[in-house]
Amino acid sequence: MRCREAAEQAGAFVDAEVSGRVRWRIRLHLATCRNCRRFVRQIALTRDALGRLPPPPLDAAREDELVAALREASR
Amino acid sequence: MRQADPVMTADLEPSDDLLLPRLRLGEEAAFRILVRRYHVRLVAIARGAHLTREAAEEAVQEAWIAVMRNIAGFEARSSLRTWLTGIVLNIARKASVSARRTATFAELTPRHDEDEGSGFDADAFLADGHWREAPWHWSEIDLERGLAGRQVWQAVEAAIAALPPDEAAVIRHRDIEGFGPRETEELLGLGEARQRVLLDRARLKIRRVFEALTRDAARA
Ligand SMILES: [Zn+2]
Repeated sequence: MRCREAAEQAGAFVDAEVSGRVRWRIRLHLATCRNCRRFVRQIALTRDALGRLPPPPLDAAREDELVAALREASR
Repeated sequence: MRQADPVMTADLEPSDDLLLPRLRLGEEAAFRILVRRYHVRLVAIARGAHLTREAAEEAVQEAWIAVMRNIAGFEARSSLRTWLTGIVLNIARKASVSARRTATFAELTPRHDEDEGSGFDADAFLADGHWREAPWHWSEIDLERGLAGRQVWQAVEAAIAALPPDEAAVIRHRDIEGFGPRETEELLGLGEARQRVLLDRARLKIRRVFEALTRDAARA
């Protein structure tokens, strides 16, 4: 496997969406290629960082407004 | 008036599953927790359906009311969060269609979601398949430093807003919201293979954004 192929499969690889055979071939390539190790790790870090993003807190006035709207609608 | 409620401190927040019976009883405090937990995320999801901030706020407010009215019939075949997201997307899509009926031609011109293949630059690799240039080295620590003390959510939102709409929707559902491929297919109607292509392209672009942030942090 060449870098191009390893890099193109990096997303599926870190999401565990490749077949066992492809997984094995990528692992083999990563064992000998520092550039691809770097790249694959960065793709995983990107995914994980996105999953941990804290959204800004809901504005308190807006929160009260929404709860009031819900109260109104439930009457 | 809001009061400090010990149940609402971060560590003790009840899970969605624990909230469900309270929501079914119409307990206002439970709705408040749910609203606080998901409203901002849901507005971001609604904006992905081409709505302005105000229209997205309205759509999500409408969705909350629909949720409250229908919670008794919610059968928990999907997670509460998936159900909630589906309702928001439905309302947002309808709002987006009716907004478009009154839109000007310029507003109607679709943004191109042209096929960019894998998303790598054409010259990222040499003819023999090796990297032309080694990926710049940054690690988890660099990234944490790069993201620290910034309004990262806003920075990422801006980066995602610049993506083609399908890529933006897929990376939001898969990576930010953490939905699996099947839930994402249910919500967006995009098959797993298509999700894969769009997600890979989107991640490449967001990786560059993160790389730039770590570079800035390294210079500072
Ligand atoms: Zn390689």
